[in-house]
Amino acid sequence: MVISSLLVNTVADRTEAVAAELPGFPGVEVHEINGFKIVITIEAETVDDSHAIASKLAGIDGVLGVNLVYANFEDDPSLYPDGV
Amino acid sequence: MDVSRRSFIKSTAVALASAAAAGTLSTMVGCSPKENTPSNGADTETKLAVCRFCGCGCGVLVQSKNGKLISVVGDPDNDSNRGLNCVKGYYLAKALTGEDRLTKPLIRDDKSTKGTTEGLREATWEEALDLVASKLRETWKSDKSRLGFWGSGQQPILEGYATAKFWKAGLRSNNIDPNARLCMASAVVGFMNVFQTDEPAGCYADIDDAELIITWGANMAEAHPMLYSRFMARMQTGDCKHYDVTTLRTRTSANADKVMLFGNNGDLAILNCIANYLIKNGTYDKAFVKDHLQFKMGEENIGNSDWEVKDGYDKSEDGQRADALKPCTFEDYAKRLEKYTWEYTAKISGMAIDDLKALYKAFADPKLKIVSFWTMGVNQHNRGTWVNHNIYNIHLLTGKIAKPGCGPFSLTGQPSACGTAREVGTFSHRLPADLVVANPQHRRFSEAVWNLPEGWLEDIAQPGYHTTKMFREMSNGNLDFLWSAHNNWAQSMTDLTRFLGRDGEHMGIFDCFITVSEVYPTISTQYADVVLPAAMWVEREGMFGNGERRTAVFEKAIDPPGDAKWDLWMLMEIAKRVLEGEKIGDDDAFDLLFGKWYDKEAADFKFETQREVLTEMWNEYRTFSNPDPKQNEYSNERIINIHDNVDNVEGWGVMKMEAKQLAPYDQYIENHGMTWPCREVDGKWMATKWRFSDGKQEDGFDEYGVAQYGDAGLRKGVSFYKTADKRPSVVFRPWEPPAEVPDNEYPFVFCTGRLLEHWHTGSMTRRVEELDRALPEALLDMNPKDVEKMGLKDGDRVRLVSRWGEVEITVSTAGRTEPPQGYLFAPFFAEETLINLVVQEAYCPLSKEPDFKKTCVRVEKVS
Repeated sequence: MVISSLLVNTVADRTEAVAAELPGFPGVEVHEINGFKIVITIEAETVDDSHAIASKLAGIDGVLGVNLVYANFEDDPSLYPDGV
Repeated sequence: MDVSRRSFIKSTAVALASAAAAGTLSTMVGCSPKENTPSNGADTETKLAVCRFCGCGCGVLVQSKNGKLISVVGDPDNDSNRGLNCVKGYYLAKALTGEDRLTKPLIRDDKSTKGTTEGLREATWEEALDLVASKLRETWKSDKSRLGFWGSGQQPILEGYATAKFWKAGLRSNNIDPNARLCMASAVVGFMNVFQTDEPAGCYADIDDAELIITWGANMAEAHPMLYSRFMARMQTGDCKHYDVTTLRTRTSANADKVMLFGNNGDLAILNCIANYLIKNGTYDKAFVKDHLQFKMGEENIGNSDWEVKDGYDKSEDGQRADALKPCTFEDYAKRLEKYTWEYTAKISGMAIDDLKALYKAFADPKLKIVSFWTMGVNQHNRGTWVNHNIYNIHLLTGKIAKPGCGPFSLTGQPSACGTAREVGTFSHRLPADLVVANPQHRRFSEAVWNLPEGWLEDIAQPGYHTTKMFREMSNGNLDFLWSAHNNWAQSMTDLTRFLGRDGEHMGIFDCFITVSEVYPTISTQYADVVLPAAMWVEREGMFGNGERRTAVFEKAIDPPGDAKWDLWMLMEIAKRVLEGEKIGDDDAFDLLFGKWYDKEAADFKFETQREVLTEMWNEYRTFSNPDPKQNEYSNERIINIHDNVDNVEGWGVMKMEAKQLAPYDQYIENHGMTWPCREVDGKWMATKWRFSDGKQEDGFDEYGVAQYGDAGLRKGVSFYKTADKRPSVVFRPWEPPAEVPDNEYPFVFCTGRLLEHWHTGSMTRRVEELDRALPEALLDMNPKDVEKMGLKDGDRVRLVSRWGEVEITVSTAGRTEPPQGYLFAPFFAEETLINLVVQEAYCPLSKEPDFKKTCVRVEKVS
């Protein structure tokens, strides 16, 4: 399982709406809202899956940007099929 | 992963993201990957690094375990990105682990296989190095005009330094140039013409204070995603607006307050129009002009390095006079601007008069803080240097420069375009630290730093082949040896129809002995006689220098795969073979140049760790900008005497090299990168965010630079102390047309560029499945009306045909960009859609940077 955390930047009047929409995406969990920034984690099988989910978030109405903060991929079977 | 490990990682992830958002959850775990602590795992190591991909130069921390990278985190202590990355950060590890990674030296025995994926066999390092060195030495001894090195803004700083030293002081050849020539050479020449020192006065933090950000020919949302994110965050405060001045709508246009479309080289006219009304209406900063500026006229009607004068432009009458300047008065300058009325400018550029007035109004507001960002739309331009000038002109006339939130800022496209290509002298006309080969004082100074006999560098007083010239000479059969590293020229160069010999006439590529240092197979390796497998990114230690003058270290975290080696080792091993038996004065040539850190008998470095090797090299390199022997034990009397011109040589002056002063190597690790000039104050090294701007050093201002060489009390508290007479030049640069304009035969303007998922030629990002899935194909973005008019539809295959070549591509009206009618866009990442087959050779006559943005083409449906 790849675990990553990201900041989702939103337009000011859409922050709550975006935060409500985010958990609808697979593996996405909202942890905190600070101003127009939303702290989320994504849990997905691989880095590719994580990237695909993160990329889709940019398409939510009101999202200005999706920034990766941290990604742990030690358990990504596509990257390290024999483990680390 | 067990539950406790998973729980720990997740809470770490949340804490780090919360900290980046200045949130409340940042203290919920007691440790993070910032440091090597037991709770990260006893067998886990954390290292400092810089992102490998674009020109933002974001700091990252990488964790490794059992020789493998296991995590990446945005470095919160690197001021360029403050803990954030773009989503490409997911792939920093995966970019290292592509299945076809090169792990053995390869040799091509049969030249007839060139241009194919076949014909390379595995070899030992000894065999490959002997072969490369023998070919280089043979060429060097017979005719050194027939050799070349093509480097990169992805080459780490000290490898670039060592390469420049080998080429310029060892081989005494200026036939060395980087791919940065394709990227920001126009910005370099603009900086040098205006300020006599390269790189911006401001920094990325200007975004946080700007009240208006103008993007000029820049798609930052895709090409500089982290900076775009920072400026979107700034816009969210409601205190900042964005004007996007562009030739086509891009993702960067999406959230702009105004999208201002233009064409036909109209940027030159638009900027002159703003300057015209600033002066006509008296809305420029008169005190700033009086205190700081001088005015000049440049040469005009300088033609183009185009089809008709293909190989002769530089030596033609136009080419010889292109960069000449002569002083003029403010009134002379103002007079020449008068032609640029709203109406004339709108007619030339196609920009709406309301947009022109909005731009003027912004610059006329003395209180408004404006940042101008530009990239390839400005630099890859047949008058790229001129547009750079014209942007500086309006910022200088209004004093909107070198202050927090205010400044003209040329963004770079590669992680070390500034640090390597520009700062250590890998251009054909440069020496390290802003010095140029054509200046005798600069040659004497470089000889002194390198401990060479006086006059040794007289051989390189003339610049060598710039990039286009180098590949033209290769295609003409006039280059016998080419070595390229950290680039993919066979995909990224203009006019590949000629340079790859596909026109059946220019077949030199098949005869030239080509060495390619690489990490993956590329089109360039298909033409290589020898491929040298390189260690990549954190498989070795190195330094990058990004667009805001930030120098940063990336530490070695893991070992390279197979027999891949550190580029610096390859360079040393080839240099020692080529220079065997050669003398510089009475000294052994190799030992004089590189003996401080390399033992040629042992075929190894003289220090145990890469850190120690690089520190020793850095100590030598930073002597260029720390010449005072009282402060730098590596300097000496010879160096400082030339620097201070103690012999009063006519035409020389005090060199003011401290204007780009650098700190000791370990400071860049301790401080997570530093922006030069760096100053030592009471034993503590401090960075400078705003060059030339007086104020406290600890707040990021250039306190000690201004005190040493500048003047206090001038308008806005700035002093351009490195510039001649301390007065930057406002140079009049008129509108002149593109090298090609649409006609009946070639009715479309074709622009190339980069998109988010794939970086440059895709040699790293296309190895990542998800990125390739997200953007699998290079499409031709067309305006729907043009598509309808031509009877085409989305998905049709068409042939793009220019005066230079042709290529097949798929039409799209739903692509990433929205071109206006008569305009086309395609990215250059896809080797199967080699769009540079059709791109013109024309370059800016001053910077020699090609114009990738305005080739005229026609579109033919493929039946």
